Amino acid sequence: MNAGPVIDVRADLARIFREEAGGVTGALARRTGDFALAEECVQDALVRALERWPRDGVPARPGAWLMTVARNRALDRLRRGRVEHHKLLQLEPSARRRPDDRLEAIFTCCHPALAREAQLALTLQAVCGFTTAQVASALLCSEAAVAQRVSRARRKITRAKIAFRAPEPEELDERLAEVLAVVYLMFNEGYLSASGKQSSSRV
Amino acid sequence: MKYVLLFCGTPEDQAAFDALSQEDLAERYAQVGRWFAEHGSVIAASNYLQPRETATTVRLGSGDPLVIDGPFLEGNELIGGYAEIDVADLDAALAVAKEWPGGGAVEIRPVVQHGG
Repeated sequence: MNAGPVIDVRADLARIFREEAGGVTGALARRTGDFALAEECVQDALVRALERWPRDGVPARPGAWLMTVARNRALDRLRRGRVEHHKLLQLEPSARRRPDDRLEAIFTCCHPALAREAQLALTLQAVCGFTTAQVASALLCSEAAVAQRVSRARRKITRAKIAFRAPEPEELDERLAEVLAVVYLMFNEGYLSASGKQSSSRV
Repeated sequence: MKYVLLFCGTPEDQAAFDALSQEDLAERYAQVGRWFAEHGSVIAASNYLQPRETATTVRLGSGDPLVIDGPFLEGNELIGGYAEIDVADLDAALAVAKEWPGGGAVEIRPVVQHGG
């Protein structure tokens, strides 16, 4: 990736993405009922931020900035496919954030119908705000492999209709175990790649 | 959202089923009957299938269709039947499948939705 002239924004970028991506994805997914769409639009917003922020500086409210860009992207995409009109209507008022948006996002990413490696890649990307390159670096595999794994998972979420919601109380034990397994792996990968100087600062 | 549940099993599952006593068999059928009754409102269609030895496969490709005695799926796995259900989402389908009393495994396949 080309370094560009302003390097000192990068640490901020990585931190902000990690803090905001999950919540923005969650808010957008809740509004549209389409997790895959939300996830793609947030990735688009991250790419936009990578282009803009080093040049223009970090916006005063970066979370709101990302939300606006991601929402506009979703509107563009939905307008193109007129079938999705009902989702468009839900987006119009303004996709507000809720405190537990990230919770629903992480339970969706860690749904037991997805393979563990897909859960891991998807959670890093959709909840932790990693780019494909960062996920690849954290999991020590190629970007192409990560992209394929994530897009297959997104397709399954859409086609098999994996719902975007936190589990019912009676499912909580099983579903929480899945999430904890992924969190544990994320911690391990983070620890290992930090010692190997491999990962997260690389935006 | 529609899903097809495929009731699958291995030869071991089949052997265990064949070894059931008259009483246990009656109990198993009663359990299966209760499952269908309980989920009747979401089951659109269902059938048991005759065993795999009765299968015939037509292979299509270049030239004339080829008729083969036997199933298409290789390996020893069996499909004993199917049910089409109409439920809200995959979690609801999973809940129905988990209660299937017939043993073996249940494969859940989403049905392609048209126009949306």
